[in-house]
Amino acid sequence: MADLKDVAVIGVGATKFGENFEWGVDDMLTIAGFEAMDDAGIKPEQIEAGWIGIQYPFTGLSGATMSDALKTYDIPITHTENYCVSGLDAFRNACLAVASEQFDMVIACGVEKITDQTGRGLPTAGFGHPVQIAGITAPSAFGLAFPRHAKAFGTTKEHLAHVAVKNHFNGAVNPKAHFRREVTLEQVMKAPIISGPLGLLDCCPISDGSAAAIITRTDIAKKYRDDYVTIKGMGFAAYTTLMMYDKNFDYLAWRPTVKAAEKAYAMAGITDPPNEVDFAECHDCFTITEILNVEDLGFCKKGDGGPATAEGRFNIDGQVAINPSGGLKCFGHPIGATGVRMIYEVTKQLQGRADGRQRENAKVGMAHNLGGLGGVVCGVVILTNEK
Amino acid sequence: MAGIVAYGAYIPWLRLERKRIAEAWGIPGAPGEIAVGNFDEDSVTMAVEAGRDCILDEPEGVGGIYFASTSPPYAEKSCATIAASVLDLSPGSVTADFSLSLSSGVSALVAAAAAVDQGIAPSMLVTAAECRLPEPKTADEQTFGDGAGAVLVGNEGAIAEIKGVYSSYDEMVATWRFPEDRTVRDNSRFYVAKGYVPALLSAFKGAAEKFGVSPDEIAKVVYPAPDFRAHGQVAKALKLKPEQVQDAMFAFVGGCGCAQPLMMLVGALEEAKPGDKILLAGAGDSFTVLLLEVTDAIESLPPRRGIKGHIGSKGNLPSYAKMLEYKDLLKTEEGDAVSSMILMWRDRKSVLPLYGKKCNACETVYFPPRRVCPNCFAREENEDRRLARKGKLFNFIDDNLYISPEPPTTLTISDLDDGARIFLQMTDRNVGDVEIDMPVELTFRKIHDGGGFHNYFWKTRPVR
Repeated sequence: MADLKDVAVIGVGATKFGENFEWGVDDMLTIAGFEAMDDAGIKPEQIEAGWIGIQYPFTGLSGATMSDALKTYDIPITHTENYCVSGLDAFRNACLAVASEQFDMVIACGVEKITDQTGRGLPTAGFGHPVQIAGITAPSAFGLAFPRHAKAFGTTKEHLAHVAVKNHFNGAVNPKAHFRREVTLEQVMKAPIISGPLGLLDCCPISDGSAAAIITRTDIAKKYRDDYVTIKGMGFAAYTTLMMYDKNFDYLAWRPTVKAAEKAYAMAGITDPPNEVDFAECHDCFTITEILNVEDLGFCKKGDGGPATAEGRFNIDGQVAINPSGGLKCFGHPIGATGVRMIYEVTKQLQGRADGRQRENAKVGMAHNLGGLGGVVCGVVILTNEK
Repeated sequence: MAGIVAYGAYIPWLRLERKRIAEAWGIPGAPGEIAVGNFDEDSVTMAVEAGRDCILDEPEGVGGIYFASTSPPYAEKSCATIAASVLDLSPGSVTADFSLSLSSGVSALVAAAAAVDQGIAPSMLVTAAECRLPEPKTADEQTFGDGAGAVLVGNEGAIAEIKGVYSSYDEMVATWRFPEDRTVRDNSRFYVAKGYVPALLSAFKGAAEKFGVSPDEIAKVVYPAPDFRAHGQVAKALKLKPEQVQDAMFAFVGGCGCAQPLMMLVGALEEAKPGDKILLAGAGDSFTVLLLEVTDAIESLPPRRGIKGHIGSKGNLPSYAKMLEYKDLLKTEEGDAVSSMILMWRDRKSVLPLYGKKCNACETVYFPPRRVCPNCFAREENEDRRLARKGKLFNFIDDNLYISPEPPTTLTISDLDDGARIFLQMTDRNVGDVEIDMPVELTFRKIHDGGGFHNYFWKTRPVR
């Protein structure tokens, strides 16, 4: 039997992310899915199985959401839901199926159609207990990390702002990004406050979008292209949706990120992340989320996330490029699509096809995807172009 | 006869200066301020708070609860049982709801005394709470206030014995509300002239004859009134000395409907000395007078907030529009809260009296209750534990995204005194005064009306 390191990505596709009012779920899945198939040089009838990441029931239910669009009838298709990690979990399951040699050619995709809903922020009605958890929102759930992190390490609102400035700088040149503009430190600092220290420009936008990846084994991949990328490490971890009640949780680190990274690094044989990983698509739903994540991923010391970001260590030409695509913050965050979109970006970077935002000599890249109201579940996938 | 064993009160934290109302309408304003329930308060939550103050969160030995209000949050459905559950009274407790009349607070007290005397319950907690809605732009709007009073009636350890009860009634349509009305209708001038003053004076006369006491022997006369002036008219007609008249709290609280006599009684008992005789009257439709005699036990009553502890603890409601919004007289953006009455029934023990679990393997007290301990992962090795009502703030955030009449919503994570960590909204706070490690206490509030019913739970607040 093959193992995960024999799994290769041979094609990726993605829609433009943003307020895609003119596109439905079907439109976006078709655009992203066929772009990925065209990129791989395969036809729909070659796909033997599919996984589709969707978080919200209003976007779609069951694997048939994918076959409705791609007409890949009569094959097994699984809908994965794992909060914001729904898409990366679709990718993980697709990789495992290929590694098991059950299938030779599969697709992992993700989609979310949020702007059909009206209201403020991400819809949270029906999440959790009717009264016990009432009042929580996505920015407050993650923003709760700030008071404790600031108290322990001196992290400031300005540190957070540097995350937004960096990610907008990267994303401004990305043709598929939700936003195509840079922002200044002053703009971020002065933006209307949403939650705690988080202003409007500390928060990722409400986006629609879809992304897809074609996955096979390395022995097959060679027949399709030379610049396929392969899995180097993978780790996933789920914690609890009740972390705010857990006395062992201190809000200084996202526990699922720490645990998922440990597993992925162990598999990849990485012991010195800042020197062995060239770039990472790192979950930055809110700027404070990224600050904790870069620490949890070992790209800097615990507590140094703010200063390290401000110093430019995570710029596109820094020690580790964090979110060369623009990240969730600038590229957008259609929940179920995001994890697969990260695979799209990492693959493009490793193939030297990230026009205008290319990380020089990129050899090892990471997709890091964190989900839930606070850090509930995380996936880390490390890809490489080294054969 | 039964006596009053303990008392408690609740006055909402928020106050609105009367001049803000006057400014909004361009009409003359009275001095002082009114107490206004926050957007998450209603007569049930206020009755619960007064009841907690009365029994000091100690339900053992309390035999039942009566709830009185002309402004209950349900037109059909007991509120007494909600309060009984929140206060964690035993399932065998006596409960009943009193409503429809401004006299229902005192009527509930008389009924409680009878229940205790008859051996129906060893003790009865009487709560009366109001958040009556005045018609905008009327004098009522500057007169009505929100608040609650509570007394525990029992046979043993009375701080004030009930020496006699005199009852009378007076039928007239002068303060009323149709089932479909939200705001109170009244004809105050007519009511005061032909109903309130003569009927109350007649009741005091009948009571004095029945009890065989003369006005000189009375330390405090406690009676409600529709407004400040009417209150003074009765004092004058009874020829009471100023020190005999219990303040009706119109200046800084407002008229609290059927809760007013109980709140005033709490005010009187706070100042009472052993041997004092107190006349307590209910007024409106039925006019009832009780003679109370204060005992030595009042000197050993454990401290509580009562009226004194609440009156100075306040925050400012900045505008009249906010009051309209908080009382739902003005519709503003609403959130999309969802709920399930089945789920809320299933979780009633954790939602209402706030039970968590204590793990018997590692001693951790935790919330919400789960079968597996979140600390040591012991399975099914726990017992129910009513959580502490005080704690320390571990973490918080002010959130503007959640739809609320009072943004930002302050979300808190607190470590309670029993070690349980709990996530709750915070209420009755000034934004900017909240900080990590500050002491907090819990207060029972309405969270939303998702599912088409009132969803109650607890919130934190800075210690009042």
